[in-house]
Amino acid sequence: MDLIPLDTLAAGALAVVQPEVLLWTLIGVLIGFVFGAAPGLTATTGVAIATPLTFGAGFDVAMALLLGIYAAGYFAGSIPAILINTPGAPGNAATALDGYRLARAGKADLAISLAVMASAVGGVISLLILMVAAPNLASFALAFTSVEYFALGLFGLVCVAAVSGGSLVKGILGAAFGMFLGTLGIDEVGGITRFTFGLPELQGGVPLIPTLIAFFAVTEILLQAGVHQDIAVLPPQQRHPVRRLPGLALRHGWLLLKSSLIGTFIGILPGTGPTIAAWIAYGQSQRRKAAADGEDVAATRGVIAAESANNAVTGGALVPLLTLGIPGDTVTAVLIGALLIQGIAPGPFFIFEHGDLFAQILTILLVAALMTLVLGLGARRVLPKILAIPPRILLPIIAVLCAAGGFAISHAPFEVGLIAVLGIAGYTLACFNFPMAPIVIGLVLGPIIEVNLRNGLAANAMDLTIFITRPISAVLLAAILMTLAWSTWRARTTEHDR
Amino acid sequence: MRNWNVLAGGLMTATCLAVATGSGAIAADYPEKPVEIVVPFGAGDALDSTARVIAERLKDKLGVPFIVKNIPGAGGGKGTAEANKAAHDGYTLLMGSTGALTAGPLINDAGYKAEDFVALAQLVEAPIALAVAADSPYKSVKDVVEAAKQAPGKVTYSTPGPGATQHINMEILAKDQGIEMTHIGGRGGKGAVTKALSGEVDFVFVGASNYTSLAEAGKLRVLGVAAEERLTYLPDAPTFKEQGYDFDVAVWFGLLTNKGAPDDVVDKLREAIAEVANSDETRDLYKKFDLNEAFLDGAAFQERIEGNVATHAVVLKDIGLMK
Repeated sequence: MDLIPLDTLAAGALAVVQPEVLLWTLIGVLIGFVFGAAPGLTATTGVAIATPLTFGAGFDVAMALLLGIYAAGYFAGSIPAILINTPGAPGNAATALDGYRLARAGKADLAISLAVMASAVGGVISLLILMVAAPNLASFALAFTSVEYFALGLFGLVCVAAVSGGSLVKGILGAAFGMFLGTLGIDEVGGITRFTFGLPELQGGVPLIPTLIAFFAVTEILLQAGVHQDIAVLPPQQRHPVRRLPGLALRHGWLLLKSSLIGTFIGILPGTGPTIAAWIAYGQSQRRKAAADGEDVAATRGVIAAESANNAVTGGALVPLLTLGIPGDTVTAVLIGALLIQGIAPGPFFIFEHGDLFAQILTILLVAALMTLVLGLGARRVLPKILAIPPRILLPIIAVLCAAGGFAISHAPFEVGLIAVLGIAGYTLACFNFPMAPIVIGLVLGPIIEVNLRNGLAANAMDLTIFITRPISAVLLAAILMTLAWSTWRARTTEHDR
Repeated sequence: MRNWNVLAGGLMTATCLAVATGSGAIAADYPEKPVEIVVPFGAGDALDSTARVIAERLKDKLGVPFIVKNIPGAGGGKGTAEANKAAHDGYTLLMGSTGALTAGPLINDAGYKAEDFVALAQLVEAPIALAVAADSPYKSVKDVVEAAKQAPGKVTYSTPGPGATQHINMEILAKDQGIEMTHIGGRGGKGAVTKALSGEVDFVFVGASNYTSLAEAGKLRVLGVAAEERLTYLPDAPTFKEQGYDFDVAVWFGLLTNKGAPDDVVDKLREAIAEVANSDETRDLYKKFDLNEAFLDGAAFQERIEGNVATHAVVLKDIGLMK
């Protein structure tokens, strides 16, 4: 398939480089920062709330506002993830693991810089892919049936090994617990409720955002409250000059590229999104553990992988939207309404008939990524000052934010109660040294694995061999086996060396 | 200390009194405060678009904000249960749709029943249609039915999810034709379309507006529209009726409020909604969202809901989903 003519692209790009559109992009980016950073609010909510505001606006202004929120929203959740272990959105949970560790070690500046840089790189790489290959990649989105989604889910589960901390057994138990939480509510295959204890509120299952708030933020609050205040003095925050960033980016160039590609391709797959992308990229980044690498290098790799992957979802998710009219993630699902109001039905004709509008979308996303980069780098000096607030003041404030975030999800007290219950469960598990991340991964991937296993079998007359006769699924399953075999072998040899 | 208790007690009594008198609103005063419209699906959904179009107009008409509150989850069950908990004073409206309202409570202990709500007005309908991928061997509804007769359970199809209107109605057709097919949920309409495009299922049965651009591009073939007449945006797609199948089903969206709301408040709401729903402005916005205007007044809508519940109960029992 041919690309759009370059002059159409250029004209489209020029059309949006004008003060009014740039201003609306900036406003979008700022709103995106707020929605991304506030726990309980996400880029999806931000775009949904802003959509009716664009009913009377032109295409360029409408897209400037909404795509600004989109690009900044996927990044901004990393700031509270790094500073207070509270991912602003599910996609930033993987960032919390290493980012928070860096912040506690006095390197919040470095962690935020890395997150900003990785987000910008991920966003731009996915944009380039969207620009040059969108029509060809549409078929990739359609190569995935339930069989492939099942294999992908299983593949994602392998990253539990990377986030289990000291004990793989506890990691696996945690993931199993998360998968159990994922079975609550209406069964998506059978249509009937499971384990709801007669509570209608649980029909929709255990929602992800309150679970994240509970297992990350609330658990951490309770753990810290148990530490004697005088001992809990953090080392002073170090500055990290911007000029060192390009060097860091180059040193981790391959990781940046790989994670951005993972993010883009997962973005292309409908029904997935930044959360899965970030965990898979994170898991991949932790496979290499050279002896020479210090703790900081491993943490650096973790933040880079998670953030470049979750922001790369933006360009990826637009591929099926603009080529098939099928959204790649939840934000693009909301964008359909915004496009319809502009009189544009996203579908196979969009890029060919509206090459100029396609160019406008690309340009706005690029501008939004750059604005996020500048604003993020600007904010990284100020924000870590939050860590200087004494825990006895900071912790209750975070607790209130968590409760408010829970309430924001469905405007009902149920989620707030759920956060409290799961938070205490998380604290109890943490006291027994269970890592929290596997639980969250289990909750995210459990339903994908279960539903697609059952659907895949139902659609193929209960034939189990379908999982190895379809090529993509076979490759993914083989990759899982190889990863497991390799890490077992490595664990044995390192033990032997000692 | 004692004085504080007395004061607190007094304040609480005063609050209770205020609440009590507030809830006894009469139509002359209604609405005195913002009204909430609970949308049991996420922002950006077709149901949500309908609610937002109407909310804006109702605000202008009645002079108080009409706030759209999205409570997604459980195929609409979670938000509907939440709306059922609200005070029966007409200050909480429900944007109801087929399935969540008419089938959900029959399948699970959903925390509400269709009878818990009183109908205000049906607003729009979304016609449903059957489509196959471009490379599918099926060229007509008859081909699909014949294939299913040849090999029971072998033909697969997708809808937004188990218990959805689309699923229930396809099972009604299957029962009428004496055939058996395998259902795969698509986690929403677009997801169901994807399953047909990727070749995972033999056909998809969801809202017809999902097909428009894909059909034009030749990626999908619409074999049957379950409506009285052909659709303006899919002029080449034949109806089921043209092919000899008496099959006319649609997903409807409409406003309801809790049963027990004062009669005069219900009347006032019905009147206001009828007026804004039948304005040209509203119709223009519907068109942009590919929503088919299908106004029914409160009484007619109520009758339709009750009729749907009765038919759905029969089918759900047949396919073993009835609780």
